[in-house]
Parts: sequence; structure tokens; C-alpha cells
Amino acid sequence: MVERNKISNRIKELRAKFNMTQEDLAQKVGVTRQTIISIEKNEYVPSLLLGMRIAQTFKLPVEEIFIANF
Amino acid sequence: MDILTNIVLPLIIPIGIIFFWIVIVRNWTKGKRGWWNTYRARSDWQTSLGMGVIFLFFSIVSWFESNTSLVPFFQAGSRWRDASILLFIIVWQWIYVKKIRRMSWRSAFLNVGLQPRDERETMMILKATQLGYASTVLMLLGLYLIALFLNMPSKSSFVFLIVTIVFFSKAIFSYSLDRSGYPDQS
Repeated sequence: MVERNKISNRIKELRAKFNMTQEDLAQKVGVTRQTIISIEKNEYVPSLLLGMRIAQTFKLPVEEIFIANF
Repeated sequence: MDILTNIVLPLIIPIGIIFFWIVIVRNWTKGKRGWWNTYRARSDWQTSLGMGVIFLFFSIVSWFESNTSLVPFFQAGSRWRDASILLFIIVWQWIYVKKIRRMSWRSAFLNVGLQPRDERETMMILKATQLGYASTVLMLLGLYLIALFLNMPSKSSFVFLIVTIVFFSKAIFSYSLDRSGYPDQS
């Protein structure tokens, strides 16, 4: 079930598509692997800057990776 | 003035301890990671809680004794001794921050001695710091009220209670970090 007022994301799916490990993505965007794990589990909402870095890594617009559930 | 007690011993003992510590850290460990240069939230809150309980016990024991021994220790003692204690604290902080933990002063003070590696860790430290400061203020307010209404007989107990508050606040800070999953950090 999708929780309201939460931001979910497609990072896990996109990592698999791009054949990337959590460590690879963490290094590319300059954070720790624990942070990527937290984002994937929707436990931590990244800053706009980090969100844009992730989007740039997957060459997609931010709104196609992060989905707001209002 | 007794030179040995008031000048020589207070200077030699701290210098000896610091020298011994440098020898251990620099030569015996050879860059290994250990409790001396690693922050572990779990062991830190457990140790701080333990120390807090010990000082709370001291506070309770000295509560009814009209014991003022700690205050005269600083009031009636030699200024040289007090200065050497202060010097020891400053030198020790410099060695701990710059040589053992290899941190900048900015990191030591603004990030409570921790070096966040990314924005998530910065947020964790910020939340824990807010909780730590809030609990310190509340406990100090509680102590002020106790001192105001109960007319504390023992000054030693008052000093011990302040030390207790410091340890309890540290325990709350580290417990908050531990619960949020903050990793071990060198």
C-alpha cells in the first residue's frame, strides 16, 4: 500500500536496469552506501541536490525517479 | 609554598600521562583503529549512562553531608595548581582533537566531534544534538529548581549533579545516534 504524503522512488529498479551496485551509485553521487539503502527503503528523503545528482546519474528527470504520493 | 605539591607534581603527572598516551597511540598501535580513535554510538551511550549513574550516586551520598570539600579545593588551593589543571585540559584537548582523532577544530566543536560523511549523517547528528541540548537545558532547569526550593546543603552534591547532567546528556545524544543507525566512525 502506498502511504500518503510520502515520497517513494525507483532507485532500486533503475540500479538493476543500469547494472549498478549500491556502492557504485553511492560513489557516483558522493554519499555512503547506507544512505542509498535508506533512500531505497524510503526511510530517508534526499535533499534536492542529491536527488538531482541521482537523476543525472540515471539520465532521467527527477520526477521520473522520485514519486510524491499526496 | 610547597613547590613539590603545588607546581612540580601537578605539571609532571599530566605531562607524564600525555606522554604515555602518545607513546601508546603513536608507536604501539601504528595507525590501527580502536576505541582510542573510533566513535561508537552504542558504547558511548552505555559508558556515559554508567558514568552518569555513578555521579548520581555520589550526588545522593554527598547530599546530606554538608560536604563542601570540592569547592575549597579550588578556592583555597594554589593558583599554580589550578593553572596547571587548566593547562592539562587544554593540552589534552589539543592532542585528542588534532593528533588522535585528526580533526579540525571546526569539526570538533560544530559537529560535536563527529565528521559526517554525507547529508544523511549530518541530519542524524543535528537531530541528536538538538535532543542533547534540549535535555541538558531541562535537566539544568530541574537542578536550578531543586537548588532553589530545597536549599541544597551540600555544594559537592551540586557539583556532582552538574557532572551527572553532562554524562546523561551525552548518553541521550549517543543513544539518539545509535537508534538512528549512525555508523561507527574513526
